[in-house]
Amino acid sequence: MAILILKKTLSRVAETVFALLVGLILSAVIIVIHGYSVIDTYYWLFYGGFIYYNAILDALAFATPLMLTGTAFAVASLAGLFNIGVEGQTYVGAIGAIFAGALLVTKVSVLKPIALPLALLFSMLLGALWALGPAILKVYFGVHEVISTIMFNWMSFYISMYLVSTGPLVDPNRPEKSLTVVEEARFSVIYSILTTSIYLAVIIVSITYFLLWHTKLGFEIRTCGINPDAARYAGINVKKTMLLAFIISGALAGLAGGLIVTGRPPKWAIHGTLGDVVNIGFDGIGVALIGSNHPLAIIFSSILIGGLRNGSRLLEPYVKMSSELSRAIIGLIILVIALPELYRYISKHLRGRLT
Amino acid sequence: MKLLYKYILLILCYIIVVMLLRFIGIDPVKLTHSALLSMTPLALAALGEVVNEKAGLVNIGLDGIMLMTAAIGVWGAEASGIGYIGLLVGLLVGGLIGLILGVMSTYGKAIQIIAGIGVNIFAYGFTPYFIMAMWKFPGIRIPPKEVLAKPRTIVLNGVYFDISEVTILTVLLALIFYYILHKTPLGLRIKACGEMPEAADVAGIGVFKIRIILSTLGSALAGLGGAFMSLTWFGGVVKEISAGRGFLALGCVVASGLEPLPALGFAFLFGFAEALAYSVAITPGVKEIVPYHFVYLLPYITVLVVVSLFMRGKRFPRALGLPYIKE
Repeated sequence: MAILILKKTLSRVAETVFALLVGLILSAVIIVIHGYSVIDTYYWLFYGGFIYYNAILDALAFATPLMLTGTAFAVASLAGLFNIGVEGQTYVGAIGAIFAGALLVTKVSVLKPIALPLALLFSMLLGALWALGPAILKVYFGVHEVISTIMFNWMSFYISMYLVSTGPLVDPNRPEKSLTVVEEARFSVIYSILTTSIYLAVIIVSITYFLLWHTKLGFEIRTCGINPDAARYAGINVKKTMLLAFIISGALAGLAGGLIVTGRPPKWAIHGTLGDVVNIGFDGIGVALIGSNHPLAIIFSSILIGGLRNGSRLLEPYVKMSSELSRAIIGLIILVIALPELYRYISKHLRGRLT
Repeated sequence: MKLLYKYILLILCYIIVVMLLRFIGIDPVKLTHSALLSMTPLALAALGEVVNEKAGLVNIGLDGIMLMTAAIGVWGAEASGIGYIGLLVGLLVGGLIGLILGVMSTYGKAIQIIAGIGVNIFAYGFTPYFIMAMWKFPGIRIPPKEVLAKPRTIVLNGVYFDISEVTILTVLLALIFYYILHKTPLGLRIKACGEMPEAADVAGIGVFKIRIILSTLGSALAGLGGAFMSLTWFGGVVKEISAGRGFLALGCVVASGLEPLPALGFAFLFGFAEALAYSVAITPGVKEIVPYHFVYLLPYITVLVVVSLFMRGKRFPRALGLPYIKE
């Protein structure tokens, strides 16, 4: 049994590594077409992402919210729902944390000692609430979640931008950014931009793993994802399970937004253009797919993507290339993952050659 | 006949709405003009996706395709010096992506939604990368005016009206697609591929061939729409130019129940909502009271309402989104 599981895990890992390699080769083609040096690009990308000590700590800091958005996407995905809305749910989560951690606790100073849990609670609540809309549209109106969640993403983009750039959450002294959360609502700094928020993220992801694989609800969620008809025959309330999966997903994505506000020095706030939270959700989708929707694998894949995002910051000064290249690489990796036949075909071919 | 009354009624409703909007100071001709501009990319992407889904493939990467072709179209126009070549480059690049997706989804048995997500995320990264690589400036490119494919101005009874050839082409395409899908044997074959590929295969229809061709066509139209956005409509490209329009187009597709003419109608409705949002946001007297952020929500809310109202009772091809595995 143990050997079987190990073998299955190893083949999954091999598949992922294969997708990574193909993704990197394909993006090398794009890099060459535009006349850049592939070696320089990948050197700075990996040097800045993984090679030296400080870079690894920064990569972990970037990985922290991605772990949660990745798990958020995975939970919905296991229930058979594509929650592309993790992006928007992250924005409103950040708004929730700023509201509670900056505005509410300064108005009601009794709450100050519990500012951090309060801020995180608000971010989870708002994220879950924002996920409820598409969930209801899906379950009761049959609107496909891919369409509705994108609409909710753009709505949350404009609403959040209003709140932090001209609305009640703007910093009156520095109007280009939002209010800063109070000191009680901040995680303690480990090094540079890495804070203890990463411990919380790992704990939450582990709890989600336990929920999904060792509880009744988790079993129901996964059954709905594999075969909703079978789940219905087995007496599972499919509508309720889907709603719950979506809400859990939204809460996790919201928490990711909350951790960006309460766990990212030196700002402890977000920019008026939402630059800090934009694309955290989409990167999380990449994290979830690379981690084959398994929370424990997601911890590793989030560090990988966090490293790529961190390393890509060196591309602009050293290679004069847009740091967004790392996102294009993630997209290519996802395209390869969407094509499991390719790996099967090539590994069969190679095995045939070797024996 | 009944259908004709319905269309006349709809047009009358539209005229009443734009006339009412005159009172807050929005010019009806200008509004219609920008609604048509805004409709065109949505309708192109939606029409392409309608035929693509009829044959059984789903492509949620439309948004990414439109975003990439918006940037590559500008490059094509600048390199050749002719705006229409830029539109053509958009069309071809879109078609190429569609071809790759089509082969992946048929021979490769790809998971289509994940492939679509991959295309989108790739585009969100590739577009800023491409703009930086081509023009050494981050995030935005305004090409010289001569290489744009701006709409032509027609004078009717002293009223100046701007319309692009691409918009006319889009309306014609909707009619052509309607005719092909409902009145020709080819349409029947396409629908067979989406309903029951096994039966279509037995009947001698090349399921993979039809699916790949329609995937190519569908993405090519989305690509034309993307290049239209940057070259005809905005006159430049920014890294978030698509603003979820590919998903608005998917909204048209599902609300129409995969019918070309209603899809065109919904594209006009969503385009109108967008045009209205843009013009309300800059209308004096309104912009001081309502922040533009809230006005911009209008198209997205319209899509949610329309899709939830019109989705009911719509039937979709039985094999939609499922890979066909030949035995």
